[in-house]
Amino acid sequence: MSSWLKVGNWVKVCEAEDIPLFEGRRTQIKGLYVGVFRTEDGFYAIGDVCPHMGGPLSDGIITGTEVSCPLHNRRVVLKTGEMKDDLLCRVPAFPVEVRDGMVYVDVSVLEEIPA
Amino acid sequence: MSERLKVAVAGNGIAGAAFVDELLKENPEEVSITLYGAEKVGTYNRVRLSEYMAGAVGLEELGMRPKEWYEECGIDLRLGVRVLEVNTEKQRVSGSDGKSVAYDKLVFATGSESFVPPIPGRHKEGVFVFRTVEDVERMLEATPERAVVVGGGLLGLEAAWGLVARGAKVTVVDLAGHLMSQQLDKTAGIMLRREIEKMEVGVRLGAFTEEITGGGKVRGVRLRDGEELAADTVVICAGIRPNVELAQACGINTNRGIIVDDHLQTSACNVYAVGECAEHEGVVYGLVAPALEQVRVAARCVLGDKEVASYRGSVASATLKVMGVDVTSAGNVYGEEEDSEAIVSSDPLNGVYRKVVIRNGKVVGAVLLGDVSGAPQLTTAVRRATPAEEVVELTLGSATKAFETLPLSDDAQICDCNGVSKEQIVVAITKKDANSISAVGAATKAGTGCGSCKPLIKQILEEALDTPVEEEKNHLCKCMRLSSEDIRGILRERKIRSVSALGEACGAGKACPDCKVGLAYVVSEVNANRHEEERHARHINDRVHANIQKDGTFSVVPRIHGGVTNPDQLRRIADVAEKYGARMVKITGGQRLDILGLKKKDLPRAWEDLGMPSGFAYTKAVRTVKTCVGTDFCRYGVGDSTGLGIRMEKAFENLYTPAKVKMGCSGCPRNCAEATVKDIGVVAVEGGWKVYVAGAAGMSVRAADELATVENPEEVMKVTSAFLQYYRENAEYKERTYDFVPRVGLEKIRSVILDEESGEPERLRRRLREAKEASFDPWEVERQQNKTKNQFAGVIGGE
Repeated sequence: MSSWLKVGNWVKVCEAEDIPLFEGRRTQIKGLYVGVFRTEDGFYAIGDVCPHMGGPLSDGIITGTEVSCPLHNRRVVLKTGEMKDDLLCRVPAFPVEVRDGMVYVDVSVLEEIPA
Repeated sequence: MSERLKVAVAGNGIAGAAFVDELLKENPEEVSITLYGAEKVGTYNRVRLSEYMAGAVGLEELGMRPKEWYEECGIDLRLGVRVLEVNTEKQRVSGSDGKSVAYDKLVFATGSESFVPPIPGRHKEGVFVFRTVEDVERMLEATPERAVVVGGGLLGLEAAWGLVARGAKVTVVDLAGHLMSQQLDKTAGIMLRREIEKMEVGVRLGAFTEEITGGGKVRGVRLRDGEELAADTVVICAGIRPNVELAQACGINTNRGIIVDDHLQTSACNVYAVGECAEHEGVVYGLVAPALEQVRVAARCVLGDKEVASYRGSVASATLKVMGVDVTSAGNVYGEEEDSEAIVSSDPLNGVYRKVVIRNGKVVGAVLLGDVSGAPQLTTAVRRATPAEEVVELTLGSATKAFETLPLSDDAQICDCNGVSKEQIVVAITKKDANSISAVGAATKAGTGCGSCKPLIKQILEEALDTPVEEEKNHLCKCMRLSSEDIRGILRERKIRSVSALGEACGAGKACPDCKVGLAYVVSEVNANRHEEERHARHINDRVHANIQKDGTFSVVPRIHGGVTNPDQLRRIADVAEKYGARMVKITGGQRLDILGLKKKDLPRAWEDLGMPSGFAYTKAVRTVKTCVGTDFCRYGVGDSTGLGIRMEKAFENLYTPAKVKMGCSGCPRNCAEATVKDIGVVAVEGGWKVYVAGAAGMSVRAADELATVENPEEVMKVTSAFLQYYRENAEYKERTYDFVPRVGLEKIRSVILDEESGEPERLRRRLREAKEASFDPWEVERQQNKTKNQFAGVIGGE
């Protein structure tokens, strides 16, 4: 773990170059699918499984800082993990940092989620 | 016949054509019209000439009338024939066709020409004027890269806009101290300049063009202060010169224009003049609306209604877009007289300027830039010299609110392009049942010029009908309220090749993800597949060329042309299903095989193992051609439906469409391929083939419409190709043929795609071929090279 990173549980997931602009890719951290997205506004990471019917969010279409699920177009806010169409459920959102061309995701939030 | 009033009209421009319309409207049975038009094309809408230049509209959309229209109206149209001589004593005209025609009334609508000042070098190759369709065509053929436009008036800026849209670097040169000095005051002119310079158009003001330099061909322009502007093209837009030579030669009084009185009559008996060739009280009007006002009066006078009809001059006014900036100008915009004052609201940061000029407490002029809300009310106020108090609120910041509440008077001009008043629109609504914006347009021409008055027409409709009027446009991008037609216009005008560039240009697809895939289709179609492919604008199905299933796995359907397969293909399909753990193999309704449950990362290898082309079962594209065994095996077959079906599938495969296109081809009227419930269906009959379109047997069930009966497979290919391309170009995204055809109308579609003489079917087929040439099988191409990094990755990196 690099010393420059803020306190947290940071995991190096891939190279920034691995994810084209306006696309998402699925990665797996501690057994959990995490979607990492590259937007005009930088990188975001959220839980990659749509709460609606389990669609892979990383395969969705990105506009601004939202992604729409490829199965039924449920829209998820990348910054917070909130569902645009359903305020009652959300996916976890993880802080992301890019340093030296590598993408790091802080998964300390996972520790707060009951197993 | 003999008692009909013989009217000869010299000139088929806007004024001439409008005059003919007006005569026919009054009393079609009483007149016999001979119409001379020197331009090779008929009447067109000059307001949109710069759009034509930018490629945003075609010739048809310039509002030309088909020849048949003239025939139906009994007009003797002599296109390409110039009037050479008029004998005002004997009342006869002779044309360049060598024929002499007698008239009771003669109307000059000879229009004007570009004024070309005597600049040395003006005859060099690469110097153009900007006025007619032919001017535009000639200019564009020269593919300008660096251009100088001499003249910063309305027409000059229109020309500059067209050139910029075609990718040229443009500098505008004008003698005056600010741009559009006829229509704008200095402050507005300066603000317009700033907006224009943002588009990287150079502007030189107070600049006298000394010489156009170069050998035989233009190399540049030298200004009086010594500056040299390099250019391969020079466009001269130094104003208009009325065409008066013919009138002069007949001994009719002329000054700058043909001098007319309040009845639009010239100094010769029974001879009239209207439009840009006419001069009334010392003024020649170069705008459409005054010409139309003249036409109305002149038509009544010609028909003998002199007492009532009289013309008292026009308030020159216009609301238009100049290089993308909204501008309104009416009457006296300077207000430099000592007793004049002005109400002004100016926001230079946002490029908004609104000014109303007042004299003796009355409104005499208005200029609006950047925000033209309330333009019709203000223009009317100028026309009627309304007391200034009434327009204060409208001019100042509270414009939007005032705009909503201020009622439009009956004589308010709504459509500046065609000079249509509110009253005329209300009459169309109440008396002619025009209940939509397009119906109002058909009845009055309002909104058919530049289209900027459509919101007002909508407002008037809603007031008159007392119900909300449905937005007619089906917005492709709902956030930016842009229809597919708008998007196509923007793409063509700015030569945009990608969804991202489109977003930068107009905001489409930036605010929400709903329309991105639709935009991606339109971008590819308009560019005939020579677009810049961006995977982020595509649904996952189109990024990986397979259909995502509810569990995130994919289904793979290889193409099996016409449903005819062989043991080798079947063996490979079976092997792939086993090797990659397919959860199901299923025979589809389209006569092929679906391998379900493959993982994304396995797709490229599965395609390689299959060695078959993509069936496009995952996207909006040409899907299958279902066939029966036709004459090959069937004892009833009358046509080779298998052969033709395969031929169709091969001709149309790899083409994307607004929504999926399923086809069928049956070898006899028993129709075992169910061709009459397909988007495109073909059925062999004795002696030929019947072609059907717009059938459905899915979410809706609809028997197909019979489009045509043709003799042989060759003809089937021609008709179906033209139909397919017409659908690709005109349907809304996601609109199936069975919605598209009833919406547009079968007769309309027939008139376009079956009329070989018009050349349009062949143009459609040519564009289809062009798109086809740049199409490809994505399984072949992308199994070798990923379009974006990790395109088929299941999971990357991680811990």
